[in-house]
Amino acid sequence: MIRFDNVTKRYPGGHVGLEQTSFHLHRGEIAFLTGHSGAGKSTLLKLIMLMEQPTSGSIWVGGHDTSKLKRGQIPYFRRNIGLVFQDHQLLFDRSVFDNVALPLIIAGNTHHECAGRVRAALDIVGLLDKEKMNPAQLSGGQQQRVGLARAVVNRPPLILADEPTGNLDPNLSAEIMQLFESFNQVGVTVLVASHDLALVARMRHRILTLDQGHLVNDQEVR
Amino acid sequence: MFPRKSVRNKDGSQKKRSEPTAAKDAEAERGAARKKATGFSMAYLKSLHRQVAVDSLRRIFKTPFASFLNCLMIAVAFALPAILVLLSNNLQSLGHEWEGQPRISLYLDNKLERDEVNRLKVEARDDPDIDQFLYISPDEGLSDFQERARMKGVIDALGFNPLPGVLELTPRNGLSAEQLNELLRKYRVKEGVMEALLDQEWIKRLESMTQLLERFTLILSVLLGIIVLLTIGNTVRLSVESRRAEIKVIKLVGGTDGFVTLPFLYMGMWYGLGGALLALLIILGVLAGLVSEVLELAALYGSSYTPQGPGFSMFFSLLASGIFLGVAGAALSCYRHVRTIEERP
Repeated sequence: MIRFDNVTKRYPGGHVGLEQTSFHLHRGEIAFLTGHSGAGKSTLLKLIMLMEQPTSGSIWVGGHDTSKLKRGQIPYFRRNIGLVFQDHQLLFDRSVFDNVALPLIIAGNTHHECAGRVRAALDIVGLLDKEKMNPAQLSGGQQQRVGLARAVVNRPPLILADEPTGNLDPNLSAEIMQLFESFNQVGVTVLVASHDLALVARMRHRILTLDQGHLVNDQEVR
Repeated sequence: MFPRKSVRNKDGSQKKRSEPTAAKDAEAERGAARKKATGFSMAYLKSLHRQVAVDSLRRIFKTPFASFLNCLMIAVAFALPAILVLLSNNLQSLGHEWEGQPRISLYLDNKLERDEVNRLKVEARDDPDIDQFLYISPDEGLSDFQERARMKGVIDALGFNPLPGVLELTPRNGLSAEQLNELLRKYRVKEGVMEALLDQEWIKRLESMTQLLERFTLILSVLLGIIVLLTIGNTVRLSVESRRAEIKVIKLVGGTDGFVTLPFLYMGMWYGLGGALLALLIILGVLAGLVSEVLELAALYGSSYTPQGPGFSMFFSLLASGIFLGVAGAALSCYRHVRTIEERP
């Protein structure tokens, strides 16, 4: 699903984001990406999302060489990736329902047509009764779960998460991680970046460890 | 774009995702992307546009005072040239009204006998193109001249009456300039007519003045149109800036530039429309303030002239240019700013 071949990303000014990184995440796999802040986790995710382009090397996502995608194709490419942000990035000018419906509306569904799938996604994260509320009225953990519902509502084959538990207490973090596991169990490929090593170790899944842009460890713990 | 096991759509036909097998090479991929981009159902487009239109209007009303000032600025920029157009239209119709009553003055030979003058009078009377005529004999002309110019002494010193007899002809209404000139030529060659003049100079002057005014209005319209474009563009740019985070999220969940831009285009449209409507109010206000004075002035000149207001054509062209400039200003602004949001490869 995701393949990095000797990928290097240097930023203007000489800062190295990633250095000669290669790995392969198979379809249906779940993996955690760890490392200190600044180790290159965000850079790696941005490269997958086509927010950045590698300085050298090639990146394959879903069977596509990402360097061959035209600018106009990028939005359609991204619709196949569910993205979970650290700070959930919900829009506070609309309801929980409308936040979750956003990817479906963008993809060409009317508000009416989305209703079923939005409720299904909210049900999975346990917030079905909150659909009419404004996200600002929810707790941090609930907001993050709304973000998760938005990421999965259009049933993407790949889910990426950038520090999804960064602002949550350990119990809530474990809950969120279990949700990722449950998505993986129905066949979704999942890549979660997290600096919470203890939590990641407890999950007993594949762990990719980055240090200053280098992939220093790739271990299967199964 | 990605290989998928199942396609879930209620009415599968139009919003179909591209299937994996055929979409291996880039060319097919681009085609699929294009098909998706244009393949939205009518029901979807309708509901999206309705929702976005209402939402952008609601955003404008959220800051009523600032929005009103914006509209007012646009309105003034629209009202100025519109008032000038009205002015030149009115001057033109004023010209047309008086153009119907030009006079041809025939200056007659002093040696003309009375019955020869009478013959000319009869000819004028029988001419279907002549409405009225008035003969001013040399004596009448002299006394009139002395009365007005108080130059009795000068004329007396001459010892004779230098003034010719004048036959003033009023052509019937509705003759074109060409027909008038033909009439002029016809009487100029009559026996006993020394000179024939068409009293039309001031109309020509009025015409060239209105032409100048029209040209000036055109230039002013273009300049003020640019101001409207920039005003709306700037307002939209500020709005794009304030919704930066939202735009970034929409782009990351797969929103195209078009999807991101749409609310701002509607915003520009509403501003343009609001400005045009406000401009109409300004124009009507200006007219209401002027109309009584104009009527008074017209009455002084013995004219039943009434000024013309903005007609339907002006109403519609104001609204149309408001919408056009609004959308264009927003599009120009978005083209530059929406693209720069989000770090791009």
